[in-house]
Amino acid sequence: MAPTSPATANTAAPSTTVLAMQPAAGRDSLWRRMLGNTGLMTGLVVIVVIFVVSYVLPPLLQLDPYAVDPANRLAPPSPEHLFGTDNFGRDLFARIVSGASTSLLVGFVVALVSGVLGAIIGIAAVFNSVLDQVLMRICDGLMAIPAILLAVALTAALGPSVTNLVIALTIVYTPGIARLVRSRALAVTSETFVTASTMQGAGMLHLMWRHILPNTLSVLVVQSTFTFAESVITEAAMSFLGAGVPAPQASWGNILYDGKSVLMQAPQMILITSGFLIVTVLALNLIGDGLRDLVDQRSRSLVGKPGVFARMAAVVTPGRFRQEVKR
Amino acid sequence: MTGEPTAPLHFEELTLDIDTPQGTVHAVRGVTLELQRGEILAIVGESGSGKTLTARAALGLLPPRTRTGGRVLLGGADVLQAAPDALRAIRGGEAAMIFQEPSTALNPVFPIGWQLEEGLRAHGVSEPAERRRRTVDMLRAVGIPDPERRLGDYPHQFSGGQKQRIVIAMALALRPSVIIADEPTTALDVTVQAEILELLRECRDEFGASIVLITHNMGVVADLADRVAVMYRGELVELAPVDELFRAPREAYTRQLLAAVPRLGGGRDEPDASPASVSSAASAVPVAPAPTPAPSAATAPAVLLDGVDIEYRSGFGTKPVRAVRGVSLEIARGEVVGLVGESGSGKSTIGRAIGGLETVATGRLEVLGVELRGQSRRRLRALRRRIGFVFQDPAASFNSFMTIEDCVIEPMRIHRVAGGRSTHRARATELLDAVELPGSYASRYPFELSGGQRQRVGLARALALDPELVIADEPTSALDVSVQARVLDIFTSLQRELGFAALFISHDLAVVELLADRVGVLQGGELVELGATEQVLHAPEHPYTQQLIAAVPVPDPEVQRLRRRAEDPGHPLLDAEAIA
Repeated sequence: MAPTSPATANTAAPSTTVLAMQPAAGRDSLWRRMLGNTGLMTGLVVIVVIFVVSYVLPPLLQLDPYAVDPANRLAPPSPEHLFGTDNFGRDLFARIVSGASTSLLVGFVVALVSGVLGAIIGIAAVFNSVLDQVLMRICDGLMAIPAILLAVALTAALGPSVTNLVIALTIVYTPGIARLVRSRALAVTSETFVTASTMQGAGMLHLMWRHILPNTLSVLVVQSTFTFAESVITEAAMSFLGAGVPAPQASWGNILYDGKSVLMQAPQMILITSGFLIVTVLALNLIGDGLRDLVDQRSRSLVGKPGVFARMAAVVTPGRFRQEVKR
Repeated sequence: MTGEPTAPLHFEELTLDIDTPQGTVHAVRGVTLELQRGEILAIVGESGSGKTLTARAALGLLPPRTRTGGRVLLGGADVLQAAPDALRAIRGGEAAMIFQEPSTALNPVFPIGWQLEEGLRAHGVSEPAERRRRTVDMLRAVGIPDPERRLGDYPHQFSGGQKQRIVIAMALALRPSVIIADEPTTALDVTVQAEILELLRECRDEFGASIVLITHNMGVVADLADRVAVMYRGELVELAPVDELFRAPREAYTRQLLAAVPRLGGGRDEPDASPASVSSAASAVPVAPAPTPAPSAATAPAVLLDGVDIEYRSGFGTKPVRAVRGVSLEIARGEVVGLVGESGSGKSTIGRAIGGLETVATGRLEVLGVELRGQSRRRLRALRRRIGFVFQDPAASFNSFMTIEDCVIEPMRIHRVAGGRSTHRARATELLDAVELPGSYASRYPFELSGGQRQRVGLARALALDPELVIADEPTSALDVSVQARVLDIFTSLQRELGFAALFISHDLAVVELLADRVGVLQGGELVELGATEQVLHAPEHPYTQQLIAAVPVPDPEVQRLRRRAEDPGHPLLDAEAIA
């Protein structure tokens, strides 16, 4: 009778463990779970729009961020110059759009490379105590120096270029990710399923790849996204200080730096660029938060009511998306 | 037992609905219950039956997004409608709670004296000297020796049983009329459990408190309760005085629940106890392509421990802790040996050592004919192929990123069993079938299964490579009784079918009795008794074994009462005079 079937099947008490015991009536696909997460979708849409605009618009509209129009210096927004012009008479819209591609590129590459490096260092450190000591002391050393100072020093040593900026920022942000991954990996190593795998005769690589890495993923993904946002800011800050993206090339930091001296005459330079920066960073943070929920397997049964995007999708393709699970 | 309006606690058609993304969970449906003055009312049921929620509703402790129906009258006032301020006055003052895990119910960063006073402070006892006096009295009353000195001690300086005493002292501090004890002895050893149960009885007798006891242990119910409420799927199935319930259970579910309780002295299951499972196992698990062991190894015992010491080093230069001392034990091929003992007795350490997770300090440890000391990592991995391991906590022993199928296949992948993915998957389906899980579960994730189902997957994983030895470390202690019976059934039938040797580690003597050919009793790292199951459990020689068996509460109120009278504690543990 009862004991053969899951006796607690549909009577779950409100603890998460018991809720999780409910047999899933068809698991949600990844796409549907993404749709259910409004914050994540908002962030993604914003970033994709900025990305597409920064790469597609310049060739389409033949925007030239370097074209100088000395007669029209510091012009206010007009139909001709959508956002006005800067102190050399360059079109601000063109510069912000092309600056976006530089900023996003720097942020993305830094996030990716430091995420991968951080994961490798963090997980490797868990498996060898000597390596752990060596790697973590290096990380501590790097983390002891303020991020911007270290980045400025590194770019000064390497010479100003976008590649060197990326290298410098990667060196700055990898230790933090490595430490975070290491602490999570340490916790995972002591879990029973790792012992279980060891007792089955699993080797080190198997443990790392199949057990430790997936379980550190939530931390890793979130921290990498925040690193993305942070590198965009740091890049802007460094360009603002004159140590970032070299001069004629546009980046948001450059524009802010140029705008600083003409703040009273042309406030739009600072205001509009800062607006873009803030929106981008906010969107990235939203993505980071959303990805954490997405990666964490357990949380998926606890995602709240369908959000704006899930409802929109339900309107577009009814039938494919259940609005509410009936039980 | 008629409805007296002065009953300290009265549930009237209590209904709790919890909104979740999957829809509404009807956690408690129309429960009407009454707690008499000075009564101990046990609420029993499986996990998820709503017993804890019902009891917690008495304190207004409900999970978020809960819709309530009905009334909970505590001393005449409806808790469900009470304002936050009134609720705070009720909690601790009118009704108090004793939690399952004493080590987490106490805050590790505050001394226990401070924590005991916290409740008094919250309820307006502002005089520090007065608070201190009452705290000391409470500690003395619950049997903490030298309470004045120990007030400043932190929770980690007390044993598990003492911590539970402190939690009880906390609950009693404001002399509440109702005490809710949520699985108060589940986390404790049997001998300690007996003391805590005695203390709870004193609470009732000396303080006149009414107790709601939530438990799944029928032995505890028989020992302590006056009346029993059986809950199933949020509904009150049966409510009867304890003698009546055990003698003549009315409802089918109650009978089933009682039948599932393993009884000490019940003997081993007859082989035909579950013919269906045996036959399905036979057809489902063919002779796997296991590597034939070397001829010399085949005759060796599955496990041989000879004067084994195991030490834990806690740090450089500190004296190592000897967890296991001079244990000699032999497990023959195809034999099931049970290992019992209280927490800290070293029983899990022995299991881990056999799996090569702990190194042996002195003595000889041979597993399947291979000496483990100084073994290379590669040889150890090869040996582990022939050992299966089942873990205590089914929730923690699976990677939540892997499907059930991946979990079962994992050992085959690790050891690169011939045949590739499709063969592995076929084998996984066979194994799931052998543990009586439908094949459709293969694509599910571990957290989507119930505890019992997960433990069956654990068993399937342990058997994936057709091991010659299975080490089961408390495989059922995290499960409900009815589920436990099922898992044990499957384990037994598979063991008979496949003939692997097994080391079954448990703290539950009754469970070990069901399975084991021989039993070893561990105390403080030493094997104090070893012999045939019948002999050890029915005619124990060592005083510790006798003490252990005597402490197990029998799931029969009459027998338990007789036993209690025989023991006769010379003086009451609780001294109400000291507090008054």
